[in-house]
Amino acid sequence: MTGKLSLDTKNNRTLSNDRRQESKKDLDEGIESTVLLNRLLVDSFRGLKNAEFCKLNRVNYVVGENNSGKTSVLEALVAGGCYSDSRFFLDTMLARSQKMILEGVKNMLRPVGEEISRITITFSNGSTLKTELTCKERTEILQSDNKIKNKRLLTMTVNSIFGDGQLSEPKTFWVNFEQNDKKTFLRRDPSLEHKKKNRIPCQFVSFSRFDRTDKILEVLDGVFINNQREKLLDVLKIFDPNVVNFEVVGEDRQILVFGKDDHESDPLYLNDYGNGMYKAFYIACAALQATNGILLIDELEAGIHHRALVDFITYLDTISKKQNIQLFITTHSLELLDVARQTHHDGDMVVYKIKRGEGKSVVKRINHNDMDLLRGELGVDIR
Amino acid sequence: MKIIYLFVEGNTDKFVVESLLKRRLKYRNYVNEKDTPKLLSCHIPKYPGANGQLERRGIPSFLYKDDASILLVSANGKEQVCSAIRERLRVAELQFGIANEDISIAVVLDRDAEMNDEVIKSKLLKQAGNNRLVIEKDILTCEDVRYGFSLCIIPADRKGTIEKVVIDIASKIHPELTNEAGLYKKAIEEKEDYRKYRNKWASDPQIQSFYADKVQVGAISTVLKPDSSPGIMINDILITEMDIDQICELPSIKRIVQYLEDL
Repeated sequence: MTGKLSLDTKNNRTLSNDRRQESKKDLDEGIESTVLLNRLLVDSFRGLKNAEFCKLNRVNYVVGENNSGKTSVLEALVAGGCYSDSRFFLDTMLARSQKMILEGVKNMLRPVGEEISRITITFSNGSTLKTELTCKERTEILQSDNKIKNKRLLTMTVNSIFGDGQLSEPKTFWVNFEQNDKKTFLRRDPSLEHKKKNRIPCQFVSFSRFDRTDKILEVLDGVFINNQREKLLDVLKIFDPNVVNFEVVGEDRQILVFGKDDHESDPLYLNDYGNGMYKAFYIACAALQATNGILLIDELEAGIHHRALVDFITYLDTISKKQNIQLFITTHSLELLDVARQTHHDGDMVVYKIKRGEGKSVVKRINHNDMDLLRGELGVDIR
Repeated sequence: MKIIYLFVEGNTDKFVVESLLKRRLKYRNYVNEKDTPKLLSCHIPKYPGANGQLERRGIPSFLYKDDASILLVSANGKEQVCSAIRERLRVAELQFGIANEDISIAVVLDRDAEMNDEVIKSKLLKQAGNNRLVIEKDILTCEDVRYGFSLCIIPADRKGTIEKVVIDIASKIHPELTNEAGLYKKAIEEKEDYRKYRNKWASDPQIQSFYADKVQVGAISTVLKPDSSPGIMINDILITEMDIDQICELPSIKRIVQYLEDL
């Protein structure tokens, strides 16, 4: 347990109106967050081929059918350079792999039928970051104890070049995946860290990883350091208005949530609450750590009841504006898109619908005006 | 399968056209979304949204027969026809990622006060330009994609709107009722006491006469189907009560029947 508990029952209030008013206040005060990324071009990365996302906005939703490449768009942003440390980069590249085996890693990294993945990010100031990822496999023969063994090696090379008028020297790093005795080991370029010159604050919350307690705690530490506990309390109150505080307690660092009625019953751990509250808490933590950067959220709606979505999207909108965060959100939910249309300020949001086409991905851009027409007037499904 | 997006000016036009398609050409309504081709089903509204919107607007009709499916759209006014075309092509394009040239565009316009078909067409071309559409003969181009295009103007034989057609049909089946409703219309149209109402319809006396036709149709409808709108009366009673071949021989309606057959 760290620090003294401060139970603020005065703040135990219904959140929605307060948040909405705060959101409106932001607009009244003319707070304008800038858009960091302006364009994304992805070629031969996972299922994406020649996918262009132009005129990116402050809030970007990605929709499409299963296997259309929505999550790959988020991953492409990371692979294309939106990360601040190499562990985050590797974690994202391997997030889908259930187990660290070479075949799995190979399939995750190597684009189908292609040798090179190319990702180009254009920033709002006109500068560009071009990244090429290649994967090559080879076999080495090892001899030890009079036995000959095969060692399979998969090398991923990341080559990036940053240009802001004139092109800089290309930066290259490698990551090796070695399989020996059916075990796969990862070795990375020791100079990887200092080669990452353009650090872009980025957080990635995906459905497959939101249950990683160590990840949430890591992000939460950053929130405590920046004294942003109150902002997280607001999220918890969306789901349980009785919440008055939370703390990280015990050697195994559990998150304990205190309610105003805790004199009658024991406080609950965050894990004891539903997935929606847990996920929203994680997203909020990640948002607070993505200041002046980008936040990637995969299937935001999963686990969150549609009534809570209104308050949560309002919260996320306010936080992202204040912290200057560009949002990239994938979704299957029409309800979420309707909430988004009504929550985000005019001109602040855009929806990209992606579909697998012959030889290339088809990306359709739907701006706020289109949303008003298609959803507000015609009521048609834009997913 | 042919896919036709058929645009009409208003709801009364939609009911008449839909009735003719069903009675004369044996089209049927799709009753389940899963049976509907994607180029049509993408126009099925998903309500209510998260905002709790209950109002249903712009719901098209979905019709089919052996080799063709029709999306029948009311544009809610003559001036909205081209924007409605553009909107619906946008919806289809979003559904498939690419524009689909298999779609044909058909438009049925009321003649109103203009007897020269070319004048009506030129007005439509101008409206198309304002909506970034190009219409040349039987081709409509939207975002560089070409679609088959055709236009029909009703009534064929005289000035007026779709109500003239409805009155023609009603006069064949219920002549006395149509006549009585005509006298009522005449009174509304001519009595000084009603000028204040007529002026709310339109300032042009000729346009007022078209609105007066709506009054007559409303009066007929009130008797034939007191609890429903004129549109329901057209679909449920008027066209079903008369031999469809007789209806189709009426001078005011002959052209549109031929047009729908040729789609």
